[in-house]
Amino acid sequence: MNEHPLPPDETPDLLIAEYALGVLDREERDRVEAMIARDARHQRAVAQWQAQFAEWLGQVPASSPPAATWRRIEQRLFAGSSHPPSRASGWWNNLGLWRWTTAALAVGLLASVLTLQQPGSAPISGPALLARLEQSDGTTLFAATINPGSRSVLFVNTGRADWPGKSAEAWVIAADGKPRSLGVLPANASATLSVTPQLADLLASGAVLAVTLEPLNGSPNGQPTGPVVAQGKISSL
Amino acid sequence: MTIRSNAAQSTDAQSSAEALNVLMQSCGKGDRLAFEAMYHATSARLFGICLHYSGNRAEAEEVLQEVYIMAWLKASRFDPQLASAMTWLATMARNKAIDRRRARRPHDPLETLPELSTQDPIPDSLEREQQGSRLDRCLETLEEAQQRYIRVAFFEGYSYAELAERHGIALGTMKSWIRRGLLRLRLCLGL
Repeated sequence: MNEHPLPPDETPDLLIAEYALGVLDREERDRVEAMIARDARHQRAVAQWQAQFAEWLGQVPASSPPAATWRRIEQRLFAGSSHPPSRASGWWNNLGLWRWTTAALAVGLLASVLTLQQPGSAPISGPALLARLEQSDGTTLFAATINPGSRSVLFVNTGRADWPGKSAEAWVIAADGKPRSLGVLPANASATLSVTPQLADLLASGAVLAVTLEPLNGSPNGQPTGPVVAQGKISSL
Repeated sequence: MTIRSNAAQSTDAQSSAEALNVLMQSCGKGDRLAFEAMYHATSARLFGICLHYSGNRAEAEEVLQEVYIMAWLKASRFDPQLASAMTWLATMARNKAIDRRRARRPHDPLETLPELSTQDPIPDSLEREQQGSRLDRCLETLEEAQQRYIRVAFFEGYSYAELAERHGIALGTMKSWIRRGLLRLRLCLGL
């Protein structure tokens, strides 16, 4: 196939592709960003290129950041708030206070964001449900996110979560007080657990999520047999 | 380890992607638990990207902090219909790391810029066949030099001028290869 003549340098389509690839210099990039900011169609085109290139970014090897990074981020963002988020204190034990603080923060943050920019996020297809699973000493061990509209729960370990010779198993305990298994969690890694429609119905605000230690590959009899290492209530935002 | 079908894996990947979208939207409403969960679920991948493009551990860590700070502040503008949360974050990490590297020494001779791997990071052919992304399939339809330098540009994160100098190719030729390649890629991808 013969080469087509090269179109003029400045066509928006080409500029957007070059922008997403990252080959433009500072000045050109500023120009393209200004162009994109004015046009929703261009924004979609950029996002489409970025989604394609995400495949390649996924090939870059992952590497754990230093442990102190998270604390630095927290400090830089929240150090000035009325309730400093010190991780070691009993502050997180107090769910009521935590909720209050979150709500206050949310209002404050939204107010400050709204003065800077227009709200533009699409609505979530249902209320987002989250649970903070704490150890008996009040430290958070897992954060669980329930996808509205999809039958799965994402468990993210926010602390060290491996027990040699044991498997951590996640459970939901609904109003009837009966624990039902959601599945076994991998050691020190986040995991998405798919659940049956019946179980999905139980993953509602007020239900409790818990993690117990079980023999490798999970409880042999479908009921928790080992100690509870973390638990927390599901709440909507 | 349990062997799982590709279908199950892709469903899991989709569920995780959706969960991250939910977390990001919760961040947009000011939920700090969602933010912490988001950090733990994504920081190793983002730090890998920061390291790759900045080539410097201390700087990569600073960039990582900036990415999450920016993500928290911009989360209310996150639109899952435009991009997934992971893509949104990963792109932000790449752009910030590249920006930082360029700003750090804008006038340095190019020889002193961090040496990034120019080795082909494509996984081995079998894996590649199985994964077979649309981008890679489309890339294969381009001429060899176009393929090569689009990949090199992406993974090295250099501007046209830097690429031309680093690889000893005339600037006009480099631009022409990449531009022609991008235009054909765009048609193939249906963008």
